Amino acid sequence: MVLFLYSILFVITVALAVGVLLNKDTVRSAMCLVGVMMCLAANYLLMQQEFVAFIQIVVYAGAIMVLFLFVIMLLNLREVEVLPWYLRNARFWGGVLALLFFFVVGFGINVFRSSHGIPGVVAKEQALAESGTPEVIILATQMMTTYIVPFLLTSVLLLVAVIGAIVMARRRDEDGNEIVLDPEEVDA
Amino acid sequence: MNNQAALQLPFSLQPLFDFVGQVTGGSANAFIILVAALKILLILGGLLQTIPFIILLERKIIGWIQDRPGPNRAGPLGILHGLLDGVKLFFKEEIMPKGVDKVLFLMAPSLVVVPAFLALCLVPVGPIIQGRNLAALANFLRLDPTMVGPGGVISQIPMAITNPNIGILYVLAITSMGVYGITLAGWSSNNKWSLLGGIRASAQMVSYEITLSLAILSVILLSGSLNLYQIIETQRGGFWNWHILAAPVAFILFVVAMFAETNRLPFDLAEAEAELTGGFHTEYSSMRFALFFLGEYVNMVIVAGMCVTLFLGGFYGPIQIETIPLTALQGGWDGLASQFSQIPSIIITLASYLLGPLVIFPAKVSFFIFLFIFARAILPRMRYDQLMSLGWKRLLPIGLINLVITAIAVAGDLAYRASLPGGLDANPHIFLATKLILGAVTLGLFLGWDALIFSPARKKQLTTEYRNLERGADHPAQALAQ
Repeated sequence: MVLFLYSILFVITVALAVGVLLNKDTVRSAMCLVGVMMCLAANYLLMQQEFVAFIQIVVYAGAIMVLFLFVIMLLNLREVEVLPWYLRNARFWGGVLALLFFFVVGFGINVFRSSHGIPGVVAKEQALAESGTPEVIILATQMMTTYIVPFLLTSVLLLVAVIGAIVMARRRDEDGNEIVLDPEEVDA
Repeated sequence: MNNQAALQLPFSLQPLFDFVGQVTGGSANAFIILVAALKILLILGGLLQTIPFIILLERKIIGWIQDRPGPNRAGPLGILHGLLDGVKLFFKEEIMPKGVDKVLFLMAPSLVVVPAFLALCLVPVGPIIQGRNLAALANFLRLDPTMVGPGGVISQIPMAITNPNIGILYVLAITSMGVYGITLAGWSSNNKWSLLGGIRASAQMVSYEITLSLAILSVILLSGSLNLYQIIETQRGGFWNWHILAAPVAFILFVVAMFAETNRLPFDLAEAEAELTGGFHTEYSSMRFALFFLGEYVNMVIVAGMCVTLFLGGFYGPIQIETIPLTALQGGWDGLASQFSQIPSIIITLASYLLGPLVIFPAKVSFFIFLFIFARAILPRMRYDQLMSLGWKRLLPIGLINLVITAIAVAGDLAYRASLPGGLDANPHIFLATKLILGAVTLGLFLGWDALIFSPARKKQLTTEYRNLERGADHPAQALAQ
């Protein structure tokens, strides 16, 4: 039964992913990507990882893709514009990157399966999972103890990205001086 | 005297379960499916019956505020108006303008309604039926105790369609899907007003979702769970335990974000009939328009239900009337037992269970529905830049600071409880004193925010600047001031 559901999900996911690539209309393409995100969430649900599944929907389908859609609609990208130089050979380089990614993921899974995980860490998680503690509590304890350093590093990385976005979005005049918007001039 | 065994349904429901069991493979499946179906029927059906009356009430109240009678022709006091509105929409011609993106245009209304109904699955309208009360109910309905009852296949029946552990996260995830319907409706209509409405909706709903999440996070901290029933359970005992007292600022943020998420006035910029002729649903007609309408009202009920669940103790009344256990009645619990023993105890149990879903929960939800309606009648629409500056420059910092203070208080309380004799097992709940002090401190900071960080001179300057911004630079009043 579960295998049957997995196969259906697989077909839908791949169909939607192909739809992302082949749709000429950017909005439809983005909606296909939303579908892919939902399918991934359904996949996590089948693995009984409710928390990851709904975080997937909240973050990717609910926030990131809405922003994508917002930008597409704001810029009104109806048709494909002239490609910049670094996208001329996009198919070739995309293919190379996809292959590389495939090998990296395959290698990672292989290492993980043959070693049965890093002793201590994965064993502890398995023991926790088998103890019947709610999944959220397991995740939270692990994140705040074993994985505290990567967790904090990720949050610092996000902070850097936010500050970077603000710096890039600041308006400058031709001499590179920052334009400060005077509140009295905004409506003028 | 054993009333419990005496009163049963005059007929057995077993043939129904046998029949469904044959179709679905096993009678255990039949019980699970039939219980779920019954709950869906009751909750969804109940809501759909209520919505025409909410709409009628809205028009009546707005009419009253604007000193006119409101709809009063169809039936006594206009009760049939909602029904006739539905019939009218049903028979209207379906118009699809030229140049629309057909797939997205047809898909958009359902993308609004489906997430709204999905979120409805989680709203806890009543307590969980379990233990000996479930046994009594199963006995009354002549159900197999190995299937329904303590230790059976169905050992508890929550009065919500489903009750997953990650409850509130599910609601956040599903309601964040609703924005796609509005955005795509705006995009696919091939109409510039619709497009503007769609763009506004997507920016607005993403912005205010952050405020909403920050408000919900402080409740999660206070109750230590994502499960909606456990969140309600931590507020049990009386109104002094409700999270509104421990997290008043989060409550205010939630209510503001609630208006923005449902696209209601003063945040209905996506529709804005004065400037966008109707916004995202300008080009929709007949039943597709009705679906948008329905989605908006279902969403109102759901966010109101969530607000009640998170901050106002859910289906529990302001003063706790404990669910009366059957055996206590039969065993002579105080003098009450002899009074009530003439009434079949199953009826008392049912009554005590139905008080929550039929009286208390609807009463609390109606309060917020009234709030929605009053706000629509008396508040003007905000301008787009005001909306964004409110969301990002005011609500977001307030939410973050409130969250940090709540986290410090909860952590301090946790450390203190762990140090007490018996540890956390003896004191599983946050102290009432902590909650009240936390509430007072956050509310005080919120109200004293201006006084704390701005000097009177700076405040006056800011007010002048803001007024000028309001009037626009070319306003004659400002020219005079300069």
